[in-house]
Amino acid sequence: MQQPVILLVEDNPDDVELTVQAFRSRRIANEIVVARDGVEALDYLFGTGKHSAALPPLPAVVILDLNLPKISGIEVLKRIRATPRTALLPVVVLTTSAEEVDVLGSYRNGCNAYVQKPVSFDDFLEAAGTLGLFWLLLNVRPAPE
Amino acid sequence: MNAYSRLSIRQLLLLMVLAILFPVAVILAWFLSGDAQRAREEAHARVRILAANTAADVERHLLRSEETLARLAMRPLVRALDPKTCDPIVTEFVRLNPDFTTLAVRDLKGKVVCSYLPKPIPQLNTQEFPWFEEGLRAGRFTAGDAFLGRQSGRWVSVLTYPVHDDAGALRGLLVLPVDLLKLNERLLEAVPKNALVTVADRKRNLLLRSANAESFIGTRGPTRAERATHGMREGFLSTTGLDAVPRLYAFVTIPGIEWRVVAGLPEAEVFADYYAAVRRSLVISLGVLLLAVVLAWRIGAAIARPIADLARTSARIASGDRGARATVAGPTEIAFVAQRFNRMVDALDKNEATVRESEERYRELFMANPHPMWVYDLDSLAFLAVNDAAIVRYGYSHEEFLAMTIKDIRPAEDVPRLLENLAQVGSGVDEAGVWRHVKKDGSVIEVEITSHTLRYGGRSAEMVLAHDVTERRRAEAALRESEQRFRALVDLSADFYWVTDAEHRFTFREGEILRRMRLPPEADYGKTRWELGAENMSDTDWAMHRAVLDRREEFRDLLTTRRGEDGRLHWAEISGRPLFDAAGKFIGYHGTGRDVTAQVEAEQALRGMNAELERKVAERTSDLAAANRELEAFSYTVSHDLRAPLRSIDGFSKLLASEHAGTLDGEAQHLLDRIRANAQRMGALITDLLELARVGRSAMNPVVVDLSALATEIVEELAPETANREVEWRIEPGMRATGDPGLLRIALANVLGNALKYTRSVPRARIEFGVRSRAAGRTEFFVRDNGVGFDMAYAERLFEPFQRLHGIHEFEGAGIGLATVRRVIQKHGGEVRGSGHPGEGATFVFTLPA
Repeated sequence: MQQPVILLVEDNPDDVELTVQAFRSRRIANEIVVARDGVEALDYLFGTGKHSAALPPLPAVVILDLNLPKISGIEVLKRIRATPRTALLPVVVLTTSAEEVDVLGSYRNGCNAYVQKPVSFDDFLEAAGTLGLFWLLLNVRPAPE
Repeated sequence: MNAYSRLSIRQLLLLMVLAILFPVAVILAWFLSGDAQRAREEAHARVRILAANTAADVERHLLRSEETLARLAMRPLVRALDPKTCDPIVTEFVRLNPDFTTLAVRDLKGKVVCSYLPKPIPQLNTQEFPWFEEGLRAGRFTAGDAFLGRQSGRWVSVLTYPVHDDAGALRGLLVLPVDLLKLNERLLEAVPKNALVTVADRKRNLLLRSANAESFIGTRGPTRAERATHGMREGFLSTTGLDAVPRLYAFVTIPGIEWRVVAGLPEAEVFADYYAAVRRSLVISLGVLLLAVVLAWRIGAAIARPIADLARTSARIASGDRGARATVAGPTEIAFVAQRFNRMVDALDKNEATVRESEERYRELFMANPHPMWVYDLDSLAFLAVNDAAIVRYGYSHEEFLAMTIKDIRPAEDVPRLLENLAQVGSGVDEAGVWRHVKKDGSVIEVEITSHTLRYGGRSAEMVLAHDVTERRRAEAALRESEQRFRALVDLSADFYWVTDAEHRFTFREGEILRRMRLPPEADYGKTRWELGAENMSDTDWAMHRAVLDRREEFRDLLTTRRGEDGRLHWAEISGRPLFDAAGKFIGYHGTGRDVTAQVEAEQALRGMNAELERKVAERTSDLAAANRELEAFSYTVSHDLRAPLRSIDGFSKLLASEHAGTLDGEAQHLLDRIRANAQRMGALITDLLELARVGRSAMNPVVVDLSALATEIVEELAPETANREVEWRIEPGMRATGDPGLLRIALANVLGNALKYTRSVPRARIEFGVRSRAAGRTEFFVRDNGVGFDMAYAERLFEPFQRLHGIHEFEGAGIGLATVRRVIQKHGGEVRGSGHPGEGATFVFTLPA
């Protein structure tokens, strides 16, 4: 059985590489699809833009940064939750901000978890790894429609 | 009152009967007297006829005797007076006339000339024989008075007749004695037995008498009758004779010889019819009278008995016998009255309870009246009755009151005025005005007296109601005083007082301020405020004000303008309150006004300055808001964009060290570690900075926070740092403060964390947290440690951001922890300060609201 992908919405290439490294170091082998901004993320999820030819399968989990170019992370989250196909998709917010306004905004719009990116790479590895394991291996998802 | 009302019905009936009988009796008496008169007249006629007949018989007999004597005197032989030749007729005369006893002729000397008697008395002494002297003197026929014959011894009346000679000279007298007894028999034989007839001579000696003549002839008649008839020639007389029979007499005098004839008949006989008639009338009258009286008595009784029964019944009812009822008897009207009486008693019985209740109510009205009341005797001024209120109010007992007069409850000096007033007490209601009364305890009260005259227990009395007006009078005095104060207030204050009527027109205005405005108070009377106008008030403003007035609401500080006489614009703040009369009817407003011209002018100036100031503040605020927004954006940028590169530096350094460990020597590894440490320190610095910024702008949600519990939680969180260390925490229990829980946690965590950090070099660390003092709603807390301490010279710099007293290698940290603490404490209105000495530990003191 082919393993489902992980959609990583992250504009900072450094953070993309570090996140991938973190997942790899935790032996998470799922393919990681990276969206560089909100528009790319939505195109991938809804089969629009460069994905209009073929609708990609839904990822196992969406790792979403909030501070994104074009369409903000909060807006992406809202659209995911507003669309029936993606309404139950697990979304984990992974961001540098610990501002209350961001935390509350994310949970209000239906994120499944909120994780702050630590400055220390060791801590980051710990957080990202635990997060990936939880959502990919342990969490029981509703059956796809 | 009517005199008849004192009489009983029986007496009245008797009176009526008598009133009817009286005229009947008068008529009867009138008839009877008429009868009596007639009977008397008849009796008189009868006795007079008897007397007159007798007199006529006597006169006739004497006339015959006179004729006889006259013829004898004419005889010559008689005239000759010759004793020798005695006329034979003389001697024979007695034989021829047996009525006479003798006949004699005597000369002037009384010497017998010729006589029937053989031996007559030769010579007559004229003194002894009055009739002779009388005969001579008279010179005509005389009948002498009763005379007892000398020789015969019988009572005679001597008749004489003069004998004249031829020449006509008196020569002698014919003397003819008449035997009275014989004459009596002759003349009075026919007199009825029950009648009595007498004839008396001039000397009133009896000559004849129809009964017992022998005993009475020659005696004097009854002197009583004689006196009664003295001087009268004829008449009537009623008297009782010697035989004790009352008789009616008639008497006549025979002319010439002056004899008196008296004829009497028994009154019983002559008045027999009269008496019979009188007796009959009396019997009938008495019968009628008796009948009338008996009838009146019986009728009276028939009327009076039921009435008396009625009276007895009412007396029994009055004495308490409620069941007594009158007998329905007697005449219809009285029976009807008795019936009505019984119904009335029944009705009274029925109403008795009601009446008693009513009486009780009236008594209660007096006794339980809340105002003192009493009744006093107008003559003695003594109390006759007092009610409970009087006893309570005046303090005297009921008995004490009744032993006093109304003078006793007056102050001594008021008594003359009282007496003067009492002299003018009229009848009916009297408003006597306000008086001073003395209570038993000597205190004086003022009472308003209303009184009314009445009869009480049969005495002329006055009922008095005393209304205690002491409090009212005091209130009146207080009111006067209050008015004076008010006037003084109005005169002295800058305010003025005003009154408007129901149509909001000024009716009164007073106050010193008006004079200063040079406005006469009356200037605006009769006008409303809006008619006067105000330069600051629009029509809308007036409409709103009038809406308030229409709702009869109070209004405050209505600002209006008015130009004074001098043209200066004055501002006034008007406050008013509606006025209602006792019936709750709106009658206008009253209130005060205050001259606020100076304030308004000052305010206007101030307002100009304020507007300028506000404009500047708005400008600054806008600048500040922009700065705040920029600061927030900056913070956000810092948190996101400043940390991302750090994370990359750290991450890639780590990857370099682990992925290329084979190509890096020990020195390179060490440098990579230094890079990573700096990146991580900068991340911590950014975190602290963000926290400081968040404390500055976060909103406060103050609640009561249990600081002891909070500190204990923080200590537990710090536990990983105390591994391999000996740390003694002393946290006072039950510490509380009011504040934002999140901010207080930040502050407390910083202070306690600092203490733990700076005691790292001490073998036995001791950290205390407690209350130092409590005052005026604030609590002062302290956190003391036995750590490295600090130099007091730098005490102030402790709380400035990024100021460090120790080298970064000695104690890690960004140097903004205490700055954050101060920001939190200041946000709660408190203060924080630190004290210590190097090597002797440090103490931080902060205050928070209790």
